[in-house]
Amino acid sequence: MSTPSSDNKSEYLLFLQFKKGSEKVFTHYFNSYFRAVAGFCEQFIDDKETARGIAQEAFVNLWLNKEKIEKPGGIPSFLYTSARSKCLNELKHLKVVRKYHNETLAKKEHALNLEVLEGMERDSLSFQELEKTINQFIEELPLQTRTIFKMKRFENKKNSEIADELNISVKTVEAHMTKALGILRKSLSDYLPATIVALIPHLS
Amino acid sequence: MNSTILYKYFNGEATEEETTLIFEWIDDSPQNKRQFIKLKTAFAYSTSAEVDQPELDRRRSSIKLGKKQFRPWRYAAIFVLLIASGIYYYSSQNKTSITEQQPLVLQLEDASETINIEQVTQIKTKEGIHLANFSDNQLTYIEQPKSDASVNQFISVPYGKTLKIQLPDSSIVILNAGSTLEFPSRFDTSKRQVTLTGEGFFDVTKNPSQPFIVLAKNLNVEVLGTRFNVQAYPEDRVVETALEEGSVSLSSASEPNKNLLLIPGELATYMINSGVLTKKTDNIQQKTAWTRGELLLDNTAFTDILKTLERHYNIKTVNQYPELEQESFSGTVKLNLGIEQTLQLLKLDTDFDFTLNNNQLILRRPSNTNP
Repeated sequence: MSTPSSDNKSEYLLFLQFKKGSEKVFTHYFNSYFRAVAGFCEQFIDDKETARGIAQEAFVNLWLNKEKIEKPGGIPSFLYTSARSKCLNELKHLKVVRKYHNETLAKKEHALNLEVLEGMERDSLSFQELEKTINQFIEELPLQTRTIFKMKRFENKKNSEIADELNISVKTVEAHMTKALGILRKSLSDYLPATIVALIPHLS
Repeated sequence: MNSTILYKYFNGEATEEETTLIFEWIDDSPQNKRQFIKLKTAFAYSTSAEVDQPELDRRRSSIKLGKKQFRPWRYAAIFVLLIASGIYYYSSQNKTSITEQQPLVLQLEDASETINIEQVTQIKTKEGIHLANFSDNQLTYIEQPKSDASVNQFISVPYGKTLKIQLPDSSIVILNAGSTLEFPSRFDTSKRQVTLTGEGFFDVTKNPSQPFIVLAKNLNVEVLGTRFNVQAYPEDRVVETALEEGSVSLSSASEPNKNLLLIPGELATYMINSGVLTKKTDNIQQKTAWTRGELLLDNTAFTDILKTLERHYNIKTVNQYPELEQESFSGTVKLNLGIEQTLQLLKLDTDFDFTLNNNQLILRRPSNTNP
């Protein structure tokens, strides 16, 4: 058993030093969150270099605003919020790339990406809510699927690395991830922002 | 909609045909669209990019963090603080301090002569032999000619201070607060022997023909050339030796022929009562952090932290909140923050009240505690 309380303590002490301007702790946060924030941006921006550049800007922004962040949990929130508004800005000014033969498809995708980002912007609760939902959902996964999902999400491992480590094929890893997504889909149909949930008295 | 296709799409691996299928499904009904948006939101927040370590390092180092801007009000605040502490010092002059600040002292040859190190720049014997120089909190010994008699040196560092010493063989010792070191002004030709109580960090110059030996309580630490830390405070029941570089050989007075060899990264623990000597790999950085003016806490017990703070800041503690002793802390504390700041930092972690008066620290249960 790990001791979450002592982890939280050291996280908190790190956080205090970060607020005082520790570059070491900044690097620690960069190493912990860069892949996640870049992954977020890559969901909306096709060009990887641009997407990762936006993620870097989010970290610069974090450094400049470190005084305003009140708790360690505020760091990923801030990074995602910053990345989100930069992605939105980028998409708005981006001409639709000819990614598909079918131009209408490319336009539809572009419009939908904008809609997803704007939806996130409206619902500032969504990150924490989602965190909660996702964590709950992970615990409900079958053991092997859960192991793989966690390796992917928390240890940032590639499918091939996971396959090597667990001595299974890449195809099996993909199958487990697909399964996880299927279950996520079901549990997310229950997911609605807290404010809306409060308006629906008999949610089954 | 098939989850496999959706997963491929989110992973950027779907073909144009598959993408077309997905968008047809989205156009089918508003529910489908809502479901897609939720799913994409969740995926975006939970996925991570495949960035390898070199790229991560490169991207991190390309971010240049701005240096602190000059903010005059900061200096104004410090100025005010200095005045305030000046007033405090003035008003507390008449009270007797609980723990007086002791001087840094050097005794020569069986305490025949006592020198307050901080008041001199040169250390000389009664006969006028120049032994060492003192400046910038460093005592530098001069190698003595073989013709001169060796004079025993006994240095004691009080609580609230540390001292860096360069020994006659150019080895460096950093003595922690509340420690003493005894050594000759000229080492024997066969060995270099020093006696330590308290804590010292040693950076020993290499000389295979003249081993360096640290005697700490009943433990012998023998080295040829290396960097290591020895902790042997009188009130502690153990002597700890942490090796940073090189190799050392340990033996106890009771079993002088039984040696324990340490490799870098290992910590040896000698139990004084039982005479048991064991070793394990440990966080050596943590053991030597004090030489860099830091206190590195890694699930460290509050009682151990208090002991270190008492030595470093020369304070005495009265703990009226015994539950605190069950707590442990992690993180790095810069010791030059001062005692109040350090306590404030620890307090953020586990709340307690404290008052500091004439070097006496009183810890209390927090007044706004929730039962």
